[in-house]
Amino acid sequence: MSKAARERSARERLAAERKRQAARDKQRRLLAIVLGSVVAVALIVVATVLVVDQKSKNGRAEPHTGALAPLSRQDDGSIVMAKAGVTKPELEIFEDFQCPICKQFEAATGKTVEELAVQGKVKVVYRPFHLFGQQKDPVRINSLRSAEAALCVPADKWISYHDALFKFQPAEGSEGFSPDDLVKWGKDVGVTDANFEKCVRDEQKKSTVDAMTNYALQQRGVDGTPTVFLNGQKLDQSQFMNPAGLRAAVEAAGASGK
Amino acid sequence: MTQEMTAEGRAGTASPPMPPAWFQVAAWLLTLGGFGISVYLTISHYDEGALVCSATSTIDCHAVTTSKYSSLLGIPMPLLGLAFFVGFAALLTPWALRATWPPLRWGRVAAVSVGVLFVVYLVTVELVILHKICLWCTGVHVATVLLFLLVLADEFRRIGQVD
Repeated sequence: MSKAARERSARERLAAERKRQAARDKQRRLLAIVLGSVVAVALIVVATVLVVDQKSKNGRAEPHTGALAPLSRQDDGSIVMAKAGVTKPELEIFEDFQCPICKQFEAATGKTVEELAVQGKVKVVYRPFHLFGQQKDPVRINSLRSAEAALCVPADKWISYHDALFKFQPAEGSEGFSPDDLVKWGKDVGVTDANFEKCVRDEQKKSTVDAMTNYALQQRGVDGTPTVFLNGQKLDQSQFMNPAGLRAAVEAAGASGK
Repeated sequence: MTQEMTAEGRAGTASPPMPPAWFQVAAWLLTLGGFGISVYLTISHYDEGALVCSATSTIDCHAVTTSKYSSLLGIPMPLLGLAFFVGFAALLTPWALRATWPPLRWGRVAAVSVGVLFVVYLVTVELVILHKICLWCTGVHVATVLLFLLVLADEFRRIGQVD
């Protein structure tokens, strides 16, 4: 091979090597850009999920604002919300604070129930109970602790505390409703009773919750939550999940004098 | 010459060669598998009774698929998964694989990258918030992550090709 040919061959080898090097650089850039971007955004996603979850657990409960009919607690632990003298029609609400559909019910129709009571059109009886007694923890214990804590709250703070329990309802299967949080939310909504904290932590209302649960399941035939009775008649879900439907049912019952 | 996706690179050039058979076979198997599971999860989203899955303290499909995290902006997650696999299947057709139009190639990379980010989000929710694992969902997650690795490997191979 001539000298010129050897030089040309060397130049070609050099050029080819440069191209291979450029290709390798591009491969490295591809990995750095794609993997780097995915890892960076993934870290942001994980951090956001953790922060939002923590905030939702540590959030502050707010006292209820707006008009409410007078609230009182009955001997069996249930809460009555009605204007003086209003005894009919009677709307009974069986709820479990760990029940997601109850949370949806409160979001959809809770305000309407309060308005109907303020307007003197209905007597509302809240009957919280422990539906998830046969479930595994943490669903079972979340349900029990929240029902017990709700019974420790003075009647005048019921709506605020009840709303807080649904606001901070743990996802099904997730830990939540810790005694610390249950006490904190009570204080957030203005419970000042010195016995409140002890009542929550020592589960002093367990026997009352058991009796209310027995009443719901055995005597009233409740087999799911929410269950809503109007003058003793079980309402259809399409009625009580719909504000207009519930209002119409209550007003019709009121008009018929039942 | 490197097969970089540039405008000048595609001007007047023939279609690039198809990716190797192993890539196409693996990508189609994963896409069809992910699509099948997504169809099943979509059906069970609307008919909870259709979901068959063992329930233990950590494995519980029902707890995951009925949680508030099972939809995003009102759109059920399985439906999003379904859209992902249908879209990705379109990007895997021979026509799309042969095409010289850069957005199709980058579309594959972008699609699987977004898919992996969804997997990261959903697995974080399962492990950190719900403390439950949905086995069917895990099947979709595995398919998505493997597709991401496949597409990345294919791009790595293409960019490194020297004539």
